[in-house]
Amino acid sequence: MTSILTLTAAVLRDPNALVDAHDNGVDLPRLAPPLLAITVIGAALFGLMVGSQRGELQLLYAAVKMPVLLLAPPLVALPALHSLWRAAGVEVRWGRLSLAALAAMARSAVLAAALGPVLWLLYSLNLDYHDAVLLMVASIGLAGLPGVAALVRALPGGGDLRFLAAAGSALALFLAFAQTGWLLRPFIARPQAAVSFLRPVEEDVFSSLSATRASSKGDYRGWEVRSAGVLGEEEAP
Amino acid sequence: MDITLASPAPRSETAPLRPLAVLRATGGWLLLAVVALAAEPTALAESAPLTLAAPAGALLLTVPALLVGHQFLNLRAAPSALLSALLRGYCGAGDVALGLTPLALLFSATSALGPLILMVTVGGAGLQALAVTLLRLARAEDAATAEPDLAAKGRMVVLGLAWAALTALIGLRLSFDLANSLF
Repeated sequence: MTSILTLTAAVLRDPNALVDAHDNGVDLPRLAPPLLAITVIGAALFGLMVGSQRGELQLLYAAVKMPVLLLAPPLVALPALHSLWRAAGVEVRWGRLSLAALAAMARSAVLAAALGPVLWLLYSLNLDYHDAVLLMVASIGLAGLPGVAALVRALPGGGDLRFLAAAGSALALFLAFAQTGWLLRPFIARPQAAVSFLRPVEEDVFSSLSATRASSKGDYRGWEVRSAGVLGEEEAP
Repeated sequence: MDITLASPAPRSETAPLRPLAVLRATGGWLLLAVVALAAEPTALAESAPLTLAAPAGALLLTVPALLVGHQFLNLRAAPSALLSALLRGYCGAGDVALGLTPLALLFSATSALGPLILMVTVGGAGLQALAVTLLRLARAEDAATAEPDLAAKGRMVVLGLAWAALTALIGLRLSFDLANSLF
């Protein structure tokens, strides 16, 4: 327990020093389980607070899904990050990148858990559904940015036009995070809807944003969802 | 558990280009196309070759012009140094395509955005590679010049920019064919 607390303090205070000190190809298997545990615990606590907006089973569902939301996007985007920085002339070893990503995720998860009580307080004031969703997204963004910053700072110096690689990395992470969040919805159940663990695979996050923007102007068309993608194809009757 | 904090480790230098790197980069473009268009098998046969044609075609069509212009302008760098910089740019872009494959798989499996992700990747990876290659070409010329020569430097900058503009335009033209086959 003490070591996990020490590790938590290390990822909050100076994650790059932690990565530098243990970037030897040996420590990663030793540090990965506690870092993953910190991420899962932190994200699950944050998920509980998000689920409190509706209560009942949504508490459990959001607590189970939130760690996946934090862990899956880096898994999908890490190969893109590695190749983008390599193309810019920065050689990053997979071991270092993985350790940096784990530390970054743990950092974001702990910060998200710390923001949880603020969410609970605001949700307890009967916040509107759309405001509740926006507040959750803003909280994740607020907790995620220090993690992304730590990940980028852990990469070696040098290279050409680093800002292009950094911009590409941020875009890849954002896209992976947005689509994963869309797939794992609902984190906050609509007031009229029944509580469900997952919704069917349909459309994409950007079509939803477009429909939301139209709805805010009084145009409620565009919410008819269609199955899309390999996993979303419907079987013929 | 022993957790220590230490000063930054030494930074690694860029590794020399391996022969298999070109094959991996080419495979990266093709694999990205296959994965991004997995939900649309009919478009795949036509679009996969076009995906590779955009970066490879743009490079093949403009490299001779760059080498001819370089010799004509009496610049110093060895053609092999320029070719090495160009090849490294191509491999870098192919590696980016390969690295973006999991992201493309996520979108093609769960949405209809696979083709759009493919187009964005071709454009983004191509532009990054072009900008980085331009810098490396200028650096190769600098390395070959013993004493500072402002006139030669100016000629190299103009040649590099002209080459980059031509490559970008040809890449756009080839990408237009790809977009036509997809949308």
